[in-house]
Amino acid sequence: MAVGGELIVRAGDHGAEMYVIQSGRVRITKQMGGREVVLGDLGPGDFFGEMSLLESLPRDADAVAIGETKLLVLNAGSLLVRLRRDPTFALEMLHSLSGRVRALNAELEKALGTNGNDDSA
Amino acid sequence: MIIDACEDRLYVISDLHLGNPSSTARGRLVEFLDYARITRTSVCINGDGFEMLQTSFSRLASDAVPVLNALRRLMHDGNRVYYLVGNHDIALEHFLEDWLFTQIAPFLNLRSGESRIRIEHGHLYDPWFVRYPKGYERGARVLGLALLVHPDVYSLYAKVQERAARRHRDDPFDLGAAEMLLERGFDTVILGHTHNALQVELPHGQYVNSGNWLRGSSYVEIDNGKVELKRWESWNRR
Repeated sequence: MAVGGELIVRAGDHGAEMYVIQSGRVRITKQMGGREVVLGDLGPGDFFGEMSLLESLPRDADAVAIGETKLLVLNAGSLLVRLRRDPTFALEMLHSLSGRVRALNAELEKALGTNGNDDSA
Repeated sequence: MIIDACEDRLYVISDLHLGNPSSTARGRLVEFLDYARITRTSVCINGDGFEMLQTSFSRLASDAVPVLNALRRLMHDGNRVYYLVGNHDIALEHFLEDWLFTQIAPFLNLRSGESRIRIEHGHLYDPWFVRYPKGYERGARVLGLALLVHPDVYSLYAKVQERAARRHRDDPFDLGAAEMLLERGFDTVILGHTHNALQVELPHGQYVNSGNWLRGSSYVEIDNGKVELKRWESWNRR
């Protein structure tokens, strides 16, 4: 359980857990070029922190609870058990990650497209 | 693949087993689907809508055609039909998209009102299906042959199943699966597969089983997030 404003995950920290939101909301932010950028607001059923868990790398962004938030915490062992018992969870993770890759591709295309126009001008 | 949907009103039915020799669903189902059309409600068939393991093609066709026509009328009037695949219709997955002109999904994460509702057939949590998938299929085919001899064999099967469920009542797989899914932030989980219509409160939320239409006629009504298990009675009795 996290209270409003509580920092659940800090960018740069090492973490071996991922989180599934049971109730409440979580804001994901990242420092970029000296300012804080909101990457997204997550709600029940959404998950975060999976990148550090899967790749054993430091956290990439901050996660802050917006109001009282209840979380399901999964580490490597419990994730494996969860995937065995709850096979659709893997499919939902893939579905969500695929959506994120698609969104990033669109952002990249937009950024490169803009730069291209600037170069030609 | 569509796994997310948003509906104010939705009826969930499961285990129709159209084409199964012991199915009595066809007439009642056409009537029910027309009722959904008139009340402007979308419909989710939560697995095992069409029988593949325990039927002949001619029997399946004679049962399926009137129901498919009713589903098309429902969609023609602007309602949506969701079809979730169960263990008796996996082989039909490719045909169903062509027949129904609708999306087939493995499960549905539904947003209705303020509620998040998970709808799934439930066979993936059945320990017999998971441990012995080939044996499970062979058993279903053998039962299918017995049903061709006499459709009332289903009543006997249902009694045996009920007795087995009573024996395992301390640890029924569907309640365990529902609780595990509820932990992931759903308000309600709707499964089918067991044929036993049920609505219970669990520690993390609500579990509903949509029952069956082989002999029963239970359905789940979702209205702006409110979920209620109901029994369909024909127009004449309403």
